Amino acid sequence: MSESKRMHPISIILQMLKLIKDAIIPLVVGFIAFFQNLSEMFWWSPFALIGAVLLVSGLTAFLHWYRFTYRIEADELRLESGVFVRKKRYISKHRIQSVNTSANILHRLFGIVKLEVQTAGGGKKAEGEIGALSKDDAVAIQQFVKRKEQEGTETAESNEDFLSDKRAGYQLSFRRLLAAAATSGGTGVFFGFLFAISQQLDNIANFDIYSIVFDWLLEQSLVLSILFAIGSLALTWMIAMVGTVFKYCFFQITKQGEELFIRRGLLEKREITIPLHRIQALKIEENIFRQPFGLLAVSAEIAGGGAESDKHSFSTILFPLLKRSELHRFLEEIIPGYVMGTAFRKPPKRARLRYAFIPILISVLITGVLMYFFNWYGLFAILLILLTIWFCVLDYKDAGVSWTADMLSMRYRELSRVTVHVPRKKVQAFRESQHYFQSKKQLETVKISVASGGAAGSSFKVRHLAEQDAQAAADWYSFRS
Amino acid sequence: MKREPRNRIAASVKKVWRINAGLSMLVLAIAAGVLTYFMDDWSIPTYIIYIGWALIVLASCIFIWLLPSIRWRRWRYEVFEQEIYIQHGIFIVTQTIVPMIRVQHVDTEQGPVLKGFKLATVSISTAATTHRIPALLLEEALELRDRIGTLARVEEDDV
Repeated sequence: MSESKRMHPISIILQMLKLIKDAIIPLVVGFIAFFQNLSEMFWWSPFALIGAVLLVSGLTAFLHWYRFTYRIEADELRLESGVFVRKKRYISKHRIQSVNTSANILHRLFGIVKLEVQTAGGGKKAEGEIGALSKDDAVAIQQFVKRKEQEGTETAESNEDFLSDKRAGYQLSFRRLLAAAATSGGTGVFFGFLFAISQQLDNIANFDIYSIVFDWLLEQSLVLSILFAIGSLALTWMIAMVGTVFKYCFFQITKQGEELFIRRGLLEKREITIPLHRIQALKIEENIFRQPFGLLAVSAEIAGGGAESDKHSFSTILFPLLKRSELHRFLEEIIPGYVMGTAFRKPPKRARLRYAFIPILISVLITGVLMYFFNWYGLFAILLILLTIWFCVLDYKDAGVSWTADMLSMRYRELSRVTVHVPRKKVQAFRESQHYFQSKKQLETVKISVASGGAAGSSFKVRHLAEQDAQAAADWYSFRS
Repeated sequence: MKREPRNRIAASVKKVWRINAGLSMLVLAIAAGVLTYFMDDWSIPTYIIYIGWALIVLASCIFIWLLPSIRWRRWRYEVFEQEIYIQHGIFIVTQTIVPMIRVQHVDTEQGPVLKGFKLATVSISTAATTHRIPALLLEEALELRDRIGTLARVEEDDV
C-alpha cells in the first residue's frame, strides 16, 4: 500500500455535516437575525440561503477530501492535506503509540471506520487522523504498525502463539453494564452539560433560566421543592445512565501477545489497541456509589493521552466494572506485573487535623454565607458540613503508599477512591514536599509524575504521610541509596 | 526532609529577582498613582487609596526585600551520576528526584536581565515534567548542561 490513497468519498458528506454542526449556533443566530424582516424579501430567499450554506460547506468538504491523501512509504505513515496551505505529516511507525478505529452511526451505515494514530506527543487530539476509510485499509495500516512491535521486541512469537493467547479476554455482561450505568455517577457531567446549554440559551435569548426557576421554587411549598429536587436528580441520573450504556455496550477486552484490544459502543463503535509497554500507570477507581458494593473500574494511563473521545480524562478504560474479588485475576490475565501491593503505609494519627482543617474551614464559610443570605433555609448547609467531615475521614483513612521492588502503589481519594500502580521505570520524577504546618508535625506529601496525558504529563500524590515513610519511598526511588 | 542538596544557585540571582519584582511593583505603583491623581474626578473614596498604597508598600517589602533571599537560601541542587536532586520552595519546600535515564533533553536559556548578570537558566525535561534551575553563572550552566547531556545519554529507554 505505497500508492497515495484518498479517503472514502462518504467523508465528503461526513465533513459537510461536521462543518454545519460546528457552525450551527452562528448559523441559527444569523438566520433569525436575517429573517426578522422577512416580509421585505423574496419568497425564495430562505431557500437560497440554505442552498448557499450547503454549497459552501459541500465545496469545502469536497476540496478537503480531494486534497487529503495518505500512504505508507519508507516505514512512515504519510498524510497530506490542506486546501490553501499544503500540510504534510509523516509519522514514523516507530513513534506510533497506538492505532485506534471508531465508527459512528453514519460510518456504520456505509461500513467504514475512522482511524486515529497516537504518538507520544501531548495534546488531546490524535496526531494523525483519517476520517473515513474502508475497514480493510484500516486493518492494513494496523498491520503495518504492528509489524515493528514484533521486530522490535524480538520475542519471535509465532502466529499460533498469538491465537492461543487470545483466550485471555473479558466481556461485560448485560447485568454488569446496567450496574455500571447505575453507579457511574455521571450526574455531575450531565449537570455541567445543562449548565453549558443554559449559558448558550442565555446568550441567544437573554433568558435567565436560573432566576425563573428560583422564583418558581420560592413560590412553592417546601415539600414540593424537595420533591422537585429529588425528581430532577433522578432524571439526570437516568440520562447519565443511558449515556454509560451507549458507551460501554458490548465492551470486550482481549489480550493478544503484548497487546490489548478493546472493543465497545452501541451506536458509535470504537476499537482501541494498546501495546502493553505503552501503559504508564494502572488506575483503579472506586467511586462513592460503587465502593459500598465492592465494585470498581480499571483504567490505564497511556503515553500520548487516552484513546478515548472522552474529554474528561486522558486515561483509557480497561474494564468499566469489576468486583473487588475479581480484580486480582483480571490483572493477572490482562496485565501481568501490575498486581496489587499489599500493605499500605498510611498517614499517622497526627495527620488527621491536616486532612480535616481546610475542607471543613471552607464548608463552614460556605454555610455561613448561605445562612446570611437565606436565613434559616441556610441551615440545610449544615448537611454540607456533615458531608465534608465524613469525606475528610474517608480521605484520611484511604490515603497510603506501598511499593515492591519495581512497582509503586498510591492510594488517595478525590471523591472516588483511586489506587494507582506505577512501575518504577515509568515514574518520570519523584517529589516530596513539606510546608510549614506539615514540618511541625513531621508530615510530608509525596507526588510522582508519569508521561501520560498532555505535554505536562499527569501526576499522582498522597498527602500528609509520616516523614519517615515519605523518605523511605524516596530512597526506594533514588538510585543513590 | 532528607539531607539538602549540596550546590546553591548563583547569589546574584537575588538581584535579578529583586529587579523583576521591582518592575512589577513599579507597574502597580504607576496604576495607583494614576488612581490617586484622578481620585476626585472619579470619586474614589480616600480610604481605598490609603489601603491601596499600604498594600503596595507591604508587597514591595515582601517581594523585593524578604522573599528573594529566603528563596535563594532554599534553592539547592545536586547532580549525581544517576540522578538530579533539586530542592526549592518558600512556604512549601519541595525536594525532587529526577533519574538521569528519564531525562529527555536539557536546555539553557537567558533572558535580558539574566544576561546582564551573566547568568543562565538550565531546564531539564523528562517525558512528563520540566525542572528549571533558575540561575547559574553562564559557564557553570553550560558545563552543567553538557554534563547532564552526557550522563543522560548513557542509557536509552523508550517511553
